[in-house]
Amino acid sequence: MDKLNKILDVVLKFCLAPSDPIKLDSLRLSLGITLILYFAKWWEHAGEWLTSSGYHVSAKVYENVPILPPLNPEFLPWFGIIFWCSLILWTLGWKTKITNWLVLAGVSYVTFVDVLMAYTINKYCVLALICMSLAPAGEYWSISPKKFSRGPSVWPIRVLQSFVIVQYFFAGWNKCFLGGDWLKYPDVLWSQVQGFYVTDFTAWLISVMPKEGWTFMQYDALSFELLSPFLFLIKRLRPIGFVWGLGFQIVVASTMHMLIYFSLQMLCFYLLFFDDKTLHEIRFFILKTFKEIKQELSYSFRWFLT
Amino acid sequence: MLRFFGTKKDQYLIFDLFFFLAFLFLVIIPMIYLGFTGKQIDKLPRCVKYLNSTFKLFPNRIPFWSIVYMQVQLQKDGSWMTLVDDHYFQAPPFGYRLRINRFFELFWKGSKAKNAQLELALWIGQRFEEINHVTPYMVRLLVAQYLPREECPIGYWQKPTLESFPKDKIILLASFFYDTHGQVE
Repeated sequence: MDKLNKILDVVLKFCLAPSDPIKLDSLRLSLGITLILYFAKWWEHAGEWLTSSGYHVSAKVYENVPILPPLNPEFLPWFGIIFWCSLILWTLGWKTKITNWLVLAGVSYVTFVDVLMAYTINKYCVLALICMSLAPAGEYWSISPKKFSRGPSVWPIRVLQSFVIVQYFFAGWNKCFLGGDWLKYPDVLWSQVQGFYVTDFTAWLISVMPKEGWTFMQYDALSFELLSPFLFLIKRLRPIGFVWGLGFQIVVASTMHMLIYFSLQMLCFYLLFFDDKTLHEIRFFILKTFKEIKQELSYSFRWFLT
Repeated sequence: MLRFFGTKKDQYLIFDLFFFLAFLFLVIIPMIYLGFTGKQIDKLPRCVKYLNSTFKLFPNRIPFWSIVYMQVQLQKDGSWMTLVDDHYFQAPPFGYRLRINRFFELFWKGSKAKNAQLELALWIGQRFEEINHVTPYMVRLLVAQYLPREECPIGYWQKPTLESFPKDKIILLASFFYDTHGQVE
């Protein structure tokens, strides 16, 4: 019985113990910046995407998803004001208990109003935002730091870490089995970077790199995905996982048009696997650099006046 | 275990445990099940099933890319007019494509696809009427098969004209009558 209690203690501590808010705060800041870039890119088409002026699949023909009704075009500016204000304030860490829920509501609406635009990136965001709404942070990387009597529980971090590993592994698994044909053909990646996704860089790469190069990249990407549980769970292998993953996401971002936003989002989740000390050092370095730049600018300004 | 839940401040731990277990049983475990079997757990809510389905990221070799063209006919036996995409769809869901391309990834074949295509054709006809102040006679949706090329593509993707495809590479996906009452068949 004692042994069982001990095991239970270890498991509960691993899943629920109070933790340093730096991981979730770093995720909030980086994910917020990514979302700002992503929605800024698409906002010029918000009328088509979010309002009844554009075509939308109706709920009766697509029963798999709970589709929300689009906005009346007159309400789009108001939606935009609330959405953008809450997103920017959430990114800055202002009153995250409120702004987190507002951003979650906005991103969820955007995800469920138009299945034609909503993609994996939206789904990841909704899941991450739900986690963060239930355990709001805001002590570091925040314009209104909040002191906690005890650190937030580690469970959102455990859930999101599991999510990254499960996502990578089963994306790779799907590519090999359950209908995927990455093991059957050596030119799957080569065929996929063409068509709608081809960029000027990809066109150039196709012209200079032989097909064997694409095959190598194909199996490299597949290996990364299938090995991700080891690369992210075993602390000693994490540096390899970060570098390999960074390379993987850079290739995705550079060879397929607009997938840079997806890559940026995935890289945000890598911060959850950094140890707290490293994240504090990064934060200290960035704040120190900004302080030095600010000092330099104020000296230059004073010199200019005199 | 009692000491975790014995005091008032430990109420946080009860909520934390509840949320953790909720995510474990609604998200992580169903994702693992979906990943290994390819099937969703039926009893989960629709929105949860939708959020969990994130694994199908470029799983297959693409023998050809399906390029969609919208056409209208203004009178019986008249010529078919290819519509300008930008007048109907502008927002690009990843890649150099439009939401209508994404539509056909979801609604390609089957009875559900037919209903969705009917709905789309009705909307296209209505939009055509608004823009051109003319009621179309028929609306049709064509798909041209673009093959990945051995010789390198020249620059970024640009949608080829329908006329650049040989006839055996063009498929009629669906066609609908659009009468003056705005009905489609």
